[in-house]
Amino acid sequence: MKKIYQSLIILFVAIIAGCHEDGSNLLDKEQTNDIYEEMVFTEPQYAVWYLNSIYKEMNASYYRFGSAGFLGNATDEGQCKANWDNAHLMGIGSWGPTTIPFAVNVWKKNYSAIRAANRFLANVDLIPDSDEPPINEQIRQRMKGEATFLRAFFYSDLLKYYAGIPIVTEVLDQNDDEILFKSRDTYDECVEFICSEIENALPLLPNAEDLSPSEFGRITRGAALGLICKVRLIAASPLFNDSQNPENCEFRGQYNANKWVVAAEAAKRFITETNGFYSLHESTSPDKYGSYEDFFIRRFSPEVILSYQNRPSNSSNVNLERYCLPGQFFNYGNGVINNLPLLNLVADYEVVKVDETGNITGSFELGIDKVLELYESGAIDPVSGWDPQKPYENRDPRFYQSVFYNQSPWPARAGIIYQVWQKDPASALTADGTQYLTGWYNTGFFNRKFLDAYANLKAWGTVLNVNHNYPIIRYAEILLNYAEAVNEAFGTPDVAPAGYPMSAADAVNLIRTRAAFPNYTTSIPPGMPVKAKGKSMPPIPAGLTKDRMRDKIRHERRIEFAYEEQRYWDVRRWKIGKQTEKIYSQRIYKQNNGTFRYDAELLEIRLWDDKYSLFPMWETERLKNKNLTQNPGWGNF
Amino acid sequence: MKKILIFTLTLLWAIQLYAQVTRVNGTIIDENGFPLTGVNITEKFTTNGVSTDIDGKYTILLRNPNATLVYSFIGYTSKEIQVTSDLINVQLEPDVVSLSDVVVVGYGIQKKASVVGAISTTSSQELKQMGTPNLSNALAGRVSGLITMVGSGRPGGDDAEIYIRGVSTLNSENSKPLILVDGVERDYTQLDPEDIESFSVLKDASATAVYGVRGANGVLLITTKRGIIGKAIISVNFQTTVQQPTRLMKYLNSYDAAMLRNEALVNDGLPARFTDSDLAHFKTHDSPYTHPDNDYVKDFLKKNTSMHNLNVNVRGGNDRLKYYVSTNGLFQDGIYKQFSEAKYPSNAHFKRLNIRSNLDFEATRTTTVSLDLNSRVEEQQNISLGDVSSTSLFGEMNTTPPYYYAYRLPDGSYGSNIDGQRENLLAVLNDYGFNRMLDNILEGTFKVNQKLDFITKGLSFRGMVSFNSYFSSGTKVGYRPPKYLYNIDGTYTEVVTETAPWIDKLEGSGHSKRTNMEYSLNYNRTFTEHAVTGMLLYTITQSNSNAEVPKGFLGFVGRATYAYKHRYLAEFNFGYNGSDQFEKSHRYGFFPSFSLGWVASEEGFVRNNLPVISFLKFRGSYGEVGNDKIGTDRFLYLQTYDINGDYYFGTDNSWGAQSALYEGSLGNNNVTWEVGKKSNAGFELKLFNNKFLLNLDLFREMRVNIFTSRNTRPLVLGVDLPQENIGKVENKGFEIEPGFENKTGRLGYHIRGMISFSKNTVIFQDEVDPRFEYMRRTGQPVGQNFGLKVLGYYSPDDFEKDNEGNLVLQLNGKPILKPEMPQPTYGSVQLGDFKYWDRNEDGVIDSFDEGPIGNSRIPKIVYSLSYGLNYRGFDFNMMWQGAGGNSKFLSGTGAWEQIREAGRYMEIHQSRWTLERYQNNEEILYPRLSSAENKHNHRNNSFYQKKGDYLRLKNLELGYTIQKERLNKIGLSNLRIFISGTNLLILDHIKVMDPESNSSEGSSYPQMRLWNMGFNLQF
Repeated sequence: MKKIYQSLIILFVAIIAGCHEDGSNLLDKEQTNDIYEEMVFTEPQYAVWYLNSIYKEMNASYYRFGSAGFLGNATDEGQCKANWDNAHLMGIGSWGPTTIPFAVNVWKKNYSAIRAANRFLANVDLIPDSDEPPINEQIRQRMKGEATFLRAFFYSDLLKYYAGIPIVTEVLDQNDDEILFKSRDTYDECVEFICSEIENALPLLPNAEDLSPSEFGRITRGAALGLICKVRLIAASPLFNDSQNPENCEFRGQYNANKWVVAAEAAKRFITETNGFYSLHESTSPDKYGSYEDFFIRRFSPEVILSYQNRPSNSSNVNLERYCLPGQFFNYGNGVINNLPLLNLVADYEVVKVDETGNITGSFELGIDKVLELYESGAIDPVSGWDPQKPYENRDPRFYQSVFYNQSPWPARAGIIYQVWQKDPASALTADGTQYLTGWYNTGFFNRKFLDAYANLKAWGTVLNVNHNYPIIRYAEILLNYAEAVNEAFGTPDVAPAGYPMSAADAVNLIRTRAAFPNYTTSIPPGMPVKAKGKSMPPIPAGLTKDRMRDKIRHERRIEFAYEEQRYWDVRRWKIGKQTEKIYSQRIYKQNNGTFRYDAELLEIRLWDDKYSLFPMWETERLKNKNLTQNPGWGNF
Repeated sequence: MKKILIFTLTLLWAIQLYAQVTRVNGTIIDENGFPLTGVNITEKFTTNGVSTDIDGKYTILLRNPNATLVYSFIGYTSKEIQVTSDLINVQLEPDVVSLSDVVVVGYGIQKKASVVGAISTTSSQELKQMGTPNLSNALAGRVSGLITMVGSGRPGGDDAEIYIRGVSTLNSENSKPLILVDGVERDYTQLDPEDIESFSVLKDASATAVYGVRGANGVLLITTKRGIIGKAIISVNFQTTVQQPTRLMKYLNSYDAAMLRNEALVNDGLPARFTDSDLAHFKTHDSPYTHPDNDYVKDFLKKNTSMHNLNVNVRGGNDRLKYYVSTNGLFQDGIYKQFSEAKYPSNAHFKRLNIRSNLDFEATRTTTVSLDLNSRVEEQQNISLGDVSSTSLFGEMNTTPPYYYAYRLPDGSYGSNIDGQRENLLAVLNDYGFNRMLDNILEGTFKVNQKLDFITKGLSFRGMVSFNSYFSSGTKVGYRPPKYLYNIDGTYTEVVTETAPWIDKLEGSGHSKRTNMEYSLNYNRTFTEHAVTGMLLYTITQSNSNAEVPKGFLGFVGRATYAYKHRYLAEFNFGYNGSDQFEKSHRYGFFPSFSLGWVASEEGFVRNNLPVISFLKFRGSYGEVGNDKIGTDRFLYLQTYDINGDYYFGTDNSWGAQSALYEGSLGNNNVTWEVGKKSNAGFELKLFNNKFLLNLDLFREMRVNIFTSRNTRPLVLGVDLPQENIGKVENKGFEIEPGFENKTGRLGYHIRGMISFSKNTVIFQDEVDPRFEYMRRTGQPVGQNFGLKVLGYYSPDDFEKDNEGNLVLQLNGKPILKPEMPQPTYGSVQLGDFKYWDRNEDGVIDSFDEGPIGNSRIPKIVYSLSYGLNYRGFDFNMMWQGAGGNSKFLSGTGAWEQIREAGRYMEIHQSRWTLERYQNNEEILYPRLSSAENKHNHRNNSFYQKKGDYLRLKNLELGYTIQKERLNKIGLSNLRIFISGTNLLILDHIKVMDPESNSSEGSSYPQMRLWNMGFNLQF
């Protein structure tokens, strides 16, 4: 009997001992496929993927407000249908240091990306040679160039929103108080840092023409020169180069009229050093898409200099079409329409005169003030011949490629016509008819830009597989940057300065030449002068003064870059916010005889305050870091 | 053959014993000398046995010479007596481990009188009274120190949120107690209360230190019934229940809603939507297809729905085998109406079938083996909107205006509004089908208890192996018919196209398993005046859930207790255990606790001078207990790099995607458990011969090392920080339980109260210094809500007026606030909007004016009062239960007016601010109506923050037990019939929904009022 007990106790002790051995393993994390820091730069594949993640932080799209809401909705370009929309909060001034109605925290996102780039640069030399993925010294150098460029890019993004920011070039530990709590570098220091970093990257980067098709999208020398051009232009602009406030500080640079020359040099350098590789996009299927609109649904184009390489919109959450088109088109009620162009934008598309043979004999700017005046008087504009009751006739070809309007067809499905009207209150019609959009937020227009007009959404959730190209820098911008900088620096619009390849006017006219009437064979927008198919916008008049030329260039930017996130920044750097306060919509009434009556209506006042020129520093960040100064106007406790 | 052999042997013995004692009689008395009825007397090693009558007398015919008689009775120590005489009178001593007098503590049981920890218990009888199908739901008001919040009444989804002594850590998710069933962490909510023997709540460090890193939030111990020596008792318990929602949101009809909608639109400068003729149609209901007036509650919810619960169990045993076997079936219906034309049975329901078998087998004189098996199948069904736990039917009812669509159009098709975004609820119930989840649960435990008296007296070894296995998956079946808009001209527009019928698998929570082993040495011995016990235990647990990395836990546990003359008590406990949440070098923690007790009533000077005191014990404890819950995050000590999405190189899509690898949150090598430093002091007092009792406990806990993120590191760092052990929260409070029970003649009655109070304060949480001191969250309770304080409504006197007394309007049509008024920053305001307090007096209303408003969501105080009496066969029980010191934030459909095309108008909205009502001095209970979300009014402010206090008549029960004599004739030993009600009355401030509802929008499945009827019978 005793033996049994003894063995029982031995067994018990053995079990405990055994379990404890097991137990120490029990508390270890089981082997999984987790990736740890020490593996990232020793496994070539991980290093490549890590660099990809830095690329991915460039910019997902122009959806700053979530659900495909464009930044343009916070300007005089557009409006989101919903007045609960975040863009609207910016419009009515309901934002500040504690609430910024962006879908993504720009400050946090960029500093995370900068950290990743810092880490990559600190470790890139550790990546071992490899066949697949290919890694060798040349590729390591190229990757170093890419990461250097990308870090500069993220700083340039922060610079747009916040002006001077703290520059961090190393991977921080959470206890690195000295750097974590540093104050903002001045605006000029940031500009010089960004440009010199890009210069460092330049010799390491490939030329665009040397990239294989599978590598398209990688940072090139062109992208580097383009970013310098962009940063220099902004730095020369009135907001940051202000003769009234000449001293260099966090919010603006040292005033120096010569900054325009520097900007002009940067633009010239792009044109002369890129071996003529870049050109303006031409349509790849001219019967369906005009050259201008075609660019935005192709991933590859010789016009692309730097672009976020987006996935095609093949899943339900990235379907731009569904956020821009009326829900009825795909059986979804009124839908969620997040980008509606304003009459302010539509009024700025020029009116052209077309003769019997289809030649364009002239073009005229209207502008919202003129349009309002003509709706008030009911008269036809004696200069341009524009009839306020036939408002969409003979407009800039880019209008037809950027905006859907009342009675324009939806190319994706034969027979669908935009019905953007309401019952005339003075008429005896009983039913409201089919209104695709009702209520106060009806601007009278729908967005067409970036959409594939032939992408047929049959139902919510249709897979479209459309490329949406959201360029960060495209060749048209270089041309208009060139025109602006050259005009400001030298004041001779028609004459190319010595050593420069063209005049400011030449650059603008290149843009206008590409802006040709599309060769649509079907779904022709009403009012588009069919006989002028293939004809371009006429050149701007010769002999303009510097000031007049400035207006022309600004006008051209507004049209060419509609909804491309340029207007928001242009309004600020040109300090013209006050001119963008009044927001108008087109009212369209269907009358008893079936015809339409057009009118303009004040939609909203978006009161401008100069503080909107820059984003406020986050309150929480300023509480953490007492050295972080607030931007002007946003309060300073 | 065998029978013949036994018969022969018996005969032989009978002959042999003829000359010896063949019949024994006697009386059995208890420790006080009173006769004991029903004591079992068995002849050892035979099946021969009798029991004592009402006077404690017995007579037994012996089969064996030199027989040994065993006297056993529940609650008393069995006695074995060798027969030497034909008269044997026995006095039985109460059993130290008698079930009525012991308390289940961590890894063991203790005598109630000598317990020095803060432990409260409740009986299964009380839990059964509630009549709710869910155990967690039955606990409210039953045990002191326990806070329960019953958020929903959905069949199978009515689990209560449970906290012991409130919240002591920064995240209430990490404050959930450890819950063990028969010593093993198991799903307990669906245990049948009938199967429960005892329920202990371990509150202070003395009681919970043994659980180490898992014990800081308190521990619930549930013990199921086991067999007892005696003849088999078969119990049948049946209960049938009528369920009704306690409260449903009430909304206005189409006419009233349309009137308010028009007003809201006009307020916002928009055209009214409904014309006078529309309004007339709504009023007269003469055009139901174009102008419906839907009452979703009336049309789609049943007034009553049923539930049936049956439990049959058999309990008994002899000195070799004790058994408790039970089976339970529950059938609970939901409250969705079912129409005869319905394609699918889509009403919610919950079905449960449970089988339990708890066996104890005496393998040798010193070895007991136990085998517990519990198996359960559950079926949960809900309509096919969202998943099984979805409450969208209520969400839809609350968001769809009454005039939105006609259920059926003239041609019989389903109606829709133009958006097509609101569901047609008739179609939902008829055609959408159901989502059904099936859960299988299997739990088993094998235990060995070996007495080791041969080594030293009082020593024993216990070993346990157990597992839980859960599997959950389901099916969804349904179809979505097309929906049409019915136009004024009589035409139909297809708004939503049909979706083909489907049958799909529902993933559910899949498979999970947990295995647990425990080995312990126990020592229990009394040396005259010194009683000593000791325990050393080793435990190891591993759990897996689907493909997740398994979780592990192991530890040593120890306990030593010492009592001198039953008067002076001392106890030491420790847990030393490890958790896989932490880095290797500091994976193990040591958690000790000490406690002392003094039973003053045992002292001569008390007994002699204060005879009124029948029992008085003082006790106090201090200890440290851990908490390793870090929310859903695991392995915080590791930093991983995660693949997150793709990047697309190449001239077109054919080049494919490339992975993108990101740096994850920083790792924290130093991460460790939270430590609760707990102290507790209390007394237990019984007066007047145990008629009056009073228990009091005071406690204080300082929880340190709480997991929380650093908030003072600038984002320039560029990476998410890990949680660190830096938070600190203090929690203190008390529990009082007074009670009185008495019996006068045949009337017995008792009254018992219970108050539990706990209040916590955040001591540290790495908060940046706020701009204004009142914005500081440190120093406030955990979960304190911050917002603007509403002072009133803007009136015409607050705005600029012109010379004629008219308001001056801005370009956007809104009036201009007087410059001396604080200026709001959430957009322009107008008459009747909320006027907020400019707390910092800077002339601007903005987020810098947000200070603490209201209380946290979790009650500070919970209390109950129960009362019971019995007379002859009747028994009556009543319990009121309440909570207070908490706030409920209402939003969306729970409080707001209709927002755009979603939401409903309620009665309170008729008392909104309008100029006319203001000028007539009418009572104003709501700001002016907005047509869309109004960033100024619809925000976190003191108006929408309602007091969460409530008092409810939780339970009422009337029963009748039929006299035994009558029953014996029909072979029954006990029959009780009863009726009871649960959640009968509520007094509160919320009014529109149940105050415990877990939704701020009133869209959760409502809590239920239950009317029960049933019987318990035994034979």
